[in-house]
Amino acid sequence: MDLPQIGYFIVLSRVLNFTHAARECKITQPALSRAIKRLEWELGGDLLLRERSLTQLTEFGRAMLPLLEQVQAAADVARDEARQLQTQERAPLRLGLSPWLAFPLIGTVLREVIASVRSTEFSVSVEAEPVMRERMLRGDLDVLVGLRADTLPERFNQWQLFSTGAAVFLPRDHLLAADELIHGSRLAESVLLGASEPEALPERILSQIVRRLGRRPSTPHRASNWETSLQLVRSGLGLGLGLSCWPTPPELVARGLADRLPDYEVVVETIAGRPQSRAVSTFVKLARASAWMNPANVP
Amino acid sequence: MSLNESLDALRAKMTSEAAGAYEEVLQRLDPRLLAENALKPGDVMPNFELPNAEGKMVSSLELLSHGTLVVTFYRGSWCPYCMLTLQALDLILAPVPGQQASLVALSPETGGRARFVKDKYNLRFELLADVDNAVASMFGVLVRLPPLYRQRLLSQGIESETLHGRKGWFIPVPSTFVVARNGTVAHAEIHVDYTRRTELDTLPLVLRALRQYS
Repeated sequence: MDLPQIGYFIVLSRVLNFTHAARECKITQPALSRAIKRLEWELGGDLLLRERSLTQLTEFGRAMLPLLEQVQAAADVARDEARQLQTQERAPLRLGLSPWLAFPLIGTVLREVIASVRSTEFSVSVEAEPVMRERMLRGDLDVLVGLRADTLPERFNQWQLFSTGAAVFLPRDHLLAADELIHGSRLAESVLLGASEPEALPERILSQIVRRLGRRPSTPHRASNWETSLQLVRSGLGLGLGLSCWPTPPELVARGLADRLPDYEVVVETIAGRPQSRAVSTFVKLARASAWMNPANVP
Repeated sequence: MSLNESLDALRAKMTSEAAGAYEEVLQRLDPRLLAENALKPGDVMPNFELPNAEGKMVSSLELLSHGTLVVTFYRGSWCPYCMLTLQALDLILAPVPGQQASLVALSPETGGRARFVKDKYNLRFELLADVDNAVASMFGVLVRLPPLYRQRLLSQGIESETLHGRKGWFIPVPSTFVVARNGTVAHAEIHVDYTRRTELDTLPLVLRALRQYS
């Protein structure tokens, strides 16, 4: 398939009329029909239902549309980048980071963005994901690295960076530290650290534990980010709930849960269709290309 | 054993199930149309900038400033024919001091897979992550893997979203472009039949010719 073909189909899916679409694409109607036929053959299904006065997307067409829009958007970004390569335009990168993600690699990626796009000016905000998604919609933030939400507002582009399991963080000398995997039933007798935000990671893990245990363990203390949570664990105020990818301080250990909980997906998000600086597109590309987990684990 | 002998040996071992998926690819993709859509000799290569296996950005402008550039697209780490080809390219176009030609291999794989391939086969050239196939689509070599093939990969646990961070199974057709220092395409090879790379042996000749005329 080629980009003009994809572009024709995207226009056609909007105007749903071959004559109007041909005019908008500045080609003849037979040429448009041929291009769509070729695209359909290559994709292996009819994209459109052609009736005399009515053109409609088929189910297959509806499924393919967002995928083809992504192909077109990626090429648009690449072209825009190529244009920006020639200039030294200011390149803002306003990054939002989840308070419950800890990754040294973010620093490495940011360093490379700056090395590659010299005019980068970046800022990092750490707030709860729903707050940051609101800020993105308002145009206050360009890109977010956070945990995948059950529902995503419209207009968001989202890519998975990696997925990681839940873990319990506890002092090295804690009774449960001897177990390789901790059973939920044993957590029921412990004090666990909750989070200030109801949708925050520890609360999401807790709700999974509650679902399996049938009751909520004691969570009198709450933290608002991963560092504070681990600080509270170090002070002996409870056991921390987090992700196995967090760096473990030397006096603590991280243990998986025996009752297999779902993995959590770490994603990067931008607003679809919004023009972005080369610093933003470079950040997204580097983040997506990177081996966040041990490369040996890559299949 | 030459590249084409190795590829033939691999193809001879194809199971009947794999052969069905292979036939479907050949049926679905029209070599004439693909050659028409792709960059051709005389076309100007679009500039691009992509992350390499080490997590550094590599720009085509920078590469061209050193001399001729060979851009090769491979389907992914799951394609044994592509892995054989990358190893052969490493031998054919091994970086020789003063050779003034660089080779980059692009696939849409993300999540550190370029590093994995580079380390596994000790490749000495750049492997770039063509995130979302942006460069493949600008070169006109983007296709969607047909259904039988997708099913076969899925049955082996190989999934587009895991490999590319995107659903849809869009991949490049195996292809190689030689780009002269001024950014003009000098030579293009599109391999709709992913099990064959018949013309790769001529690459050194193309490069030598380019050196003489540059």
